[in-house]
Amino acid sequence: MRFRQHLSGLAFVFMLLLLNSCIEPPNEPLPAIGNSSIIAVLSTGTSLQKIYFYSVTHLEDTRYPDELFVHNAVVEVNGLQFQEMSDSLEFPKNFYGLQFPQFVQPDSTYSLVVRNGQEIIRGRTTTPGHFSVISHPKELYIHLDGATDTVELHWQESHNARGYIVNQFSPPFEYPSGSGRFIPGGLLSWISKSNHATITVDKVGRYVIKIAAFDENYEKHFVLGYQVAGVEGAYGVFASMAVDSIVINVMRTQLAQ
Amino acid sequence: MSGEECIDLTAHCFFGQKAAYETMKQILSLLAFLTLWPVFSIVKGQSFTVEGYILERDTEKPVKDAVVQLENSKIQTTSGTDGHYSLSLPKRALKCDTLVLKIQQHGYKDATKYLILPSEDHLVRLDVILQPLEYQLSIIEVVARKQSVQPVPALFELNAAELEKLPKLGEIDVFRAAQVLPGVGRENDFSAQLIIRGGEPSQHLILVDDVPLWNAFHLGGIVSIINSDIVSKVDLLASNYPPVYSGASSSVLAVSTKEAHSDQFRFYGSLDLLSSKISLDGPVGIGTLMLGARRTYFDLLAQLFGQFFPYYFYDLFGKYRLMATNNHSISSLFYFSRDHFNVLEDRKSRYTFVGEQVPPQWGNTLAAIEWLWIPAPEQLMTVSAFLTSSIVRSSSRRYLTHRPEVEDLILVDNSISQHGAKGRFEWKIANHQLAFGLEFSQLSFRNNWEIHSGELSDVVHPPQEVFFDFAPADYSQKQSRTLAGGFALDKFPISESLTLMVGGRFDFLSDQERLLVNPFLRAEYIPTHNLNIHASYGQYYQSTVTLSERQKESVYSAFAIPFLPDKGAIPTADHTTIGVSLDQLFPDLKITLEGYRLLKNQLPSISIVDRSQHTFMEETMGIDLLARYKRAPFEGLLSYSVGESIRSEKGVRFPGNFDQRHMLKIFLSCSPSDVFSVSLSWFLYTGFPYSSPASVFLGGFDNYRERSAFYPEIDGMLWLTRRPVYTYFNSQRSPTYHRLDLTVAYGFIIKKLLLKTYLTFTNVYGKNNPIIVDIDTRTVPPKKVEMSELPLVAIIGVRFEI
Repeated sequence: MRFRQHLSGLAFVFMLLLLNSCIEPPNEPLPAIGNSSIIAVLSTGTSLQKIYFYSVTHLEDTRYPDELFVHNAVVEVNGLQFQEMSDSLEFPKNFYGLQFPQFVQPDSTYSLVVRNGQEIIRGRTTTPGHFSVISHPKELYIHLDGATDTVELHWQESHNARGYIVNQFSPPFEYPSGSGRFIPGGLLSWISKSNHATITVDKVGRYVIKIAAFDENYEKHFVLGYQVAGVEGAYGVFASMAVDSIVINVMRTQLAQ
Repeated sequence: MSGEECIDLTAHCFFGQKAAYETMKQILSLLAFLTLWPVFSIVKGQSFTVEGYILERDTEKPVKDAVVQLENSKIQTTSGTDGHYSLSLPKRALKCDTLVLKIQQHGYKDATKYLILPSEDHLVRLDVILQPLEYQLSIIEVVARKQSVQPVPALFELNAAELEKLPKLGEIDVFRAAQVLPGVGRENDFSAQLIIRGGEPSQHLILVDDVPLWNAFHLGGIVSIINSDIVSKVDLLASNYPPVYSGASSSVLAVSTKEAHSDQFRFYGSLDLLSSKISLDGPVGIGTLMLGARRTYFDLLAQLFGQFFPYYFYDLFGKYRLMATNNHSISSLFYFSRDHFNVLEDRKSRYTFVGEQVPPQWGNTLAAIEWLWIPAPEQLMTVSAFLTSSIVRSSSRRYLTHRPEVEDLILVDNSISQHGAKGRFEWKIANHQLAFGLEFSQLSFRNNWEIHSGELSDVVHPPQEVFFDFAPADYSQKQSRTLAGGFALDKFPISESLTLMVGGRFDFLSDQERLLVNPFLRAEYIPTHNLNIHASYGQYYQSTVTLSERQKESVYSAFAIPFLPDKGAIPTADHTTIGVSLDQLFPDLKITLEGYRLLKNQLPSISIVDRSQHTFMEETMGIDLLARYKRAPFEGLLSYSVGESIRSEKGVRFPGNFDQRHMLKIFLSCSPSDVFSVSLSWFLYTGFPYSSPASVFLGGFDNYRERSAFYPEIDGMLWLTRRPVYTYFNSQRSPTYHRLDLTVAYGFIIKKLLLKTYLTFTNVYGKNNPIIVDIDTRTVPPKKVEMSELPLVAIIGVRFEI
């Protein structure tokens, strides 16, 4: 009798186990951030400001960015409307642009509003403060004696900057030598948390060094990987930069005759 | 019956049972479990077995843990909770000798049985009646039973002998062995970290002789820092642990170390695939000493061949116990471990170094002293002090020789330190078993790092995320807490069959500036000696939290740093369990079943969208089943868990990160002699859930290193990439995992030296078990980022004992 009681108890428990195993746990959808993405980085270093506006798409969509571009939206920054533009020499070619010299100033706040049907997207950014390279003039000439040479650049610290992107554009070079074919110079790009950088040059030609101080929104999205930075109602980023640059002309030292 | 008796095995003496019914039960027990008849048929004839029940005189209650030993040999066994024992004797003993069996148990008069062996029968029944001595608590008994540590018996436990036979990877590991228990999952084959009833590793309290252990892993989680040679047993309190402990919202894993032999010195060790170990224990002065050491050896082997292997670990253990008098015992223990990982050594030529270089290293230090005193026969007091710490350190500053602007920096100085004192008092008065305790401890965290390393990013990207999700490259933080707390517990009978345990825990946490009071209630109904029904309810809190939900693919998840919760945001948990233990449903088969519901609140998480911190709730329910079978030469274990873990976050419910619907583990061992055994283990797990994006958005490139290498300048601003949009979390599952392991062990006895060799095949049928850790949306179609589990691996090792 006790054996049967134990057995029926176990049987009941096993039925409970089976019943439990058939029930799937819930899986509810998350609240949506938005149906589109904005990529906008205002810069003091250009007179043409660009804003990219794309729709969210499914995983298997193979379309290029330009095909996902949202047309006919109303895009404004500080009340100034951006126009839909297309430049076939650029990739991606479609954007909302504003050709306005010195529109973007250092240490200034900008508000973005994008309207697309019922969808309204807002953004806010404050540009880093003014800065400039103080260690060297805007156009520098140096002679390359050995295989490499270095230039130590220093600049003023930029107020509100979260860091600096240093872009070093190398001069184009002939390859193969004597062929008359020139390959564009390479880009070295790195982030500096401090206000100085070491530039290493190893060939004759014109080096362009661009230093861009970036704001918190840029850092969050492009460096730290936040999905949303400075934007409400969409994915992406509304950020800003303050830019300065110098040119380094490298020449080979002439040997005495 | 007298304690000494000469038994003629030709008469097949049975005790109070009809032979036919016994035969029926034996057949049923074999059919109720998978058998190894082919193996048995091969190896039969190598030994014979004496088995039976050990019962108390007059009451006929079973006597558990009684030692049955063949005199003048090391062959022995212990009786189970039902009093049953089974002793396998080598056939070479069958030479018309009279074998002598000694049966001993504390609190009983020793018994001796003489066996005359003229026949070739292989299974002999011999029941033993023990006469109880007058009750007398002694220091030896308390130390042997660890009475001061565990007022509530662990539902699931493993002893040292079982640890040897259970699945291993490279060497015997306490945590990996615990993975056979129900409710216990694991992150992956390369991690010994435990997922217990849906609770992530940071939600468990790991103790070694009652001292907390932080970051208890070598090699980034592959093996634990606990040397299995020093382990006596492992108790898993999967939920509803007693208020003796605090600070874990999920479970307690209590490891008890062995006591050294007091009669003579013993020396033993092993050489496994991963490491080598030696241990020594024996009497020293008026006490006993145990020492253990372990070290990996691949780096030394590589040096012999002129190669470089960047990693090694070692650990040291020591324990001294002084039996000052019959009523006093003082013990002290220490533990020290270090891992050294010189990951950057072989790339030295590319760099110019600045300052002193300290390769990455991490490890633990633990020290404790305990005084145990029996002031009166029904009283027990323990007072202890402890120190435990865990560090991670590295110092490397250098730059690329041909590009001085590119600096490689790895500066890490993390430490966790805890020290304190505890006092406990236990008292049996009338029908009440009372226990009280007080505790005081100081906990400190210090975390500092600057990590800007392209080399290290090739190993883990970004490298600082081994510490917590979205950790910055530069970080500095200090936290500390003072805890003053205690507990009270009363166990008393309501009736002959019903026992209640009522108690609670109180803790004052200085960082929370509040007193936490948590009740505990347990009821046990034992209508017969082989049926136990229990129900428990308890409230708990999570002392520290981690933020490591993202790095599933990395074996470095064991480095997650703990944080003190924000003030007022300490996670809490409610545990409710109901269970039943059945002995002798079938002969030699014990079944334990427990249903549970765990409700955890205010667990922290970080949003992938905007990195905001928020809290979530998690509800876990399930049933764990454990069936244990032991009848020589077979031993087996079947562990099955079914459950679900539901997370509720910002009003949205979805499966928890470690929601694992089913876990099935089968372990079978056949030991036809004391020198040969074959074991099989089979595991089946439902895959863990993972989040699969429903769509993508075009956003900025979030990997700055890759960007600069491949993309042309567009005013240094715009690089586009496809980034994931999640509509559901944890909506998909990795494939179901299953694996078969086989171990063959054989021993040699050369004079006093016992050598045991083993050969283990892991994943015998070479199943490919991928874990999907992420979906890479940058390509079309998106790519699953998978981590493969263990392939077929052969592992050999040898143990020795003198």
